[in-house]
Amino acid sequence: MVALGWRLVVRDAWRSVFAMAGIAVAVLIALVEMGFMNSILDSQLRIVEAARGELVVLDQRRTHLDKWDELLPIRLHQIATVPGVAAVMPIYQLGMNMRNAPEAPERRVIVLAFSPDDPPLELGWSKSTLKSLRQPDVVLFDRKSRPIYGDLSVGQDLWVDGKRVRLGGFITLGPTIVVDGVMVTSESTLKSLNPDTRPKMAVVRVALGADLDAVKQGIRARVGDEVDVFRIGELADREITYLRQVAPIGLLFGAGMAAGLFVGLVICYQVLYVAIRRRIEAFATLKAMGFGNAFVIATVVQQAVLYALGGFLIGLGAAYFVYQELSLRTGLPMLLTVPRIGATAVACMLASMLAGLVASRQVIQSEPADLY
Amino acid sequence: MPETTANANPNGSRIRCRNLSYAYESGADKLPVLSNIDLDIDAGEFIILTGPSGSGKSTLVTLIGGLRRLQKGQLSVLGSDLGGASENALGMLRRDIGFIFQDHHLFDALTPRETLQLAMRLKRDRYGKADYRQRPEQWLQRIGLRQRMDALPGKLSTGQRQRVAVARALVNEPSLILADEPTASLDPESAAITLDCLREAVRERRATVLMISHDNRHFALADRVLTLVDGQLTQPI
Repeated sequence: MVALGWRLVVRDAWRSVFAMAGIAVAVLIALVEMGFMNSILDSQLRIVEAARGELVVLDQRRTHLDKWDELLPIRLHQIATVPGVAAVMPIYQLGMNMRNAPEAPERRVIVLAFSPDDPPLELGWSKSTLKSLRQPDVVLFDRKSRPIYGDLSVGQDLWVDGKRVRLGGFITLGPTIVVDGVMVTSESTLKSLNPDTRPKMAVVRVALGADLDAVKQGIRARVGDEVDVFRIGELADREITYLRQVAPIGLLFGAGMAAGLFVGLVICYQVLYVAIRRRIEAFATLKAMGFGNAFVIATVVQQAVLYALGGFLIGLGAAYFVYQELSLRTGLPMLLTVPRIGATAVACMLASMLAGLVASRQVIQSEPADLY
Repeated sequence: MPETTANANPNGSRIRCRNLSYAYESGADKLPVLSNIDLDIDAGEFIILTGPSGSGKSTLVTLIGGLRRLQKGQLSVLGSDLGGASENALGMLRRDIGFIFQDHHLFDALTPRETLQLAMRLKRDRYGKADYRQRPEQWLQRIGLRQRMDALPGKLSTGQRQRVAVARALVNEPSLILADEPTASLDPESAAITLDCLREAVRERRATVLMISHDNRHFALADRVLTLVDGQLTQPI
């Protein structure tokens, strides 16, 4: 059986290569835009996903994670008395200046602090590294921080807001779009650096068998509206919603993705339009012979889908290498996940099919009677 | 030269026109092309339609082929009344008609074999899997292109391409064939093969052929020669 659309693609190789290359560029643009957006979201969520508990408590004024409203310590003590709460683990977050030598330039660094005896976060440390955090004036440094901090080695001295500390080891977290590097220290060391600081959030571990919703209700009942309580997933969703809608990262990168797909649509349409124009009499002959509009539309859409498929695979391959390079250079997590690939593939197919439908209008409007 | 009239055997005609008129509209103006055509063409007739340029030959053939909508008069083709026929009904009728145009209008991406296989899809109920292999080969053998059946049109001569177009029109053995100067630009060999195929369809299957031609060497092949002048059928030559 003859698949006309397939033959038109395969036997018009240069035109098909041009169409696929154009769509591949469009797919690459869309995937890179999506990659940037998701890298910002993913990097922002790392700290949430690292939580070693079931609930996270924030001050209700802290509408997103880059806004650092403090919690009153008394509230954390109150939460600890709620039935079903096994542990409340405060986290301090502070922006400080760090240098790796007395004369080196200062670099802004985010300092996370908590109790090393029961850390609220899992940051890829070894037991001995974590143990070193119990010593005074010892810090851990994020090995995935941007290279502006220089080559650091365990045991070397660092200066944080002018005070000398010792590097006890490394953690794994990664930068965000606004944070270049992260340092971790114990609560007591941080207090020695900045005595006035208060916790910015707390991770709550719920007792085995306790009902999460009941514990959430209990916390709300105990401390009122002053704090917000989230499950890990709820906080991640809120952060994504904020970044997408309010920040407005979603709009910026969404526009980039849409522009990429639009470019693909236009290229696909243009190639199909020219290809059909060149064969308009052959298509009109099909109609004269009794093939219906549905057949010719299906033929053109089949071409469009094949262009899209080829273009998508090429674009995906290119995006893989671009993601690797960008991730290496920015430190941001550029992840080509199956759902993201699938969403782009569907969008690419739909855009190409739309281009095919629009391009097939000229076939529908062709008059077989004009062949005589 | 066979004797004929424009109205023969009104019962069982494959084509039957009564008071058929047609005018092209250009803004508010109407340009009449056909006026009160009465015509009957029977099964197994080979008709040549001739006349000067602009006399309405192509318009008449496109009306008969269901490629144009009726404006005035009655027209019945292969038993279907085309007055008020839907687009779908016209499409279905055209599947029973073999169209041959002056130009081949082949898809450059389809080989002769594939071109015929595509045409066979119009009558897919008739064919089994083996037919899609054998039938195109038989037809391409018939038109002398069996050795070139897997060549793309770009590798064929003009005459060879037109022969493929003829085979495309005939592969489903239509009972009505409408041809528009099919040999106008062909070499003698291709022209002879084309006319042989048409004559054979008439002789062996009682197909009806209506062929536009200006070449009076072809007139001897026809059962009747109809002449259109200023949109009206005149006495046959």
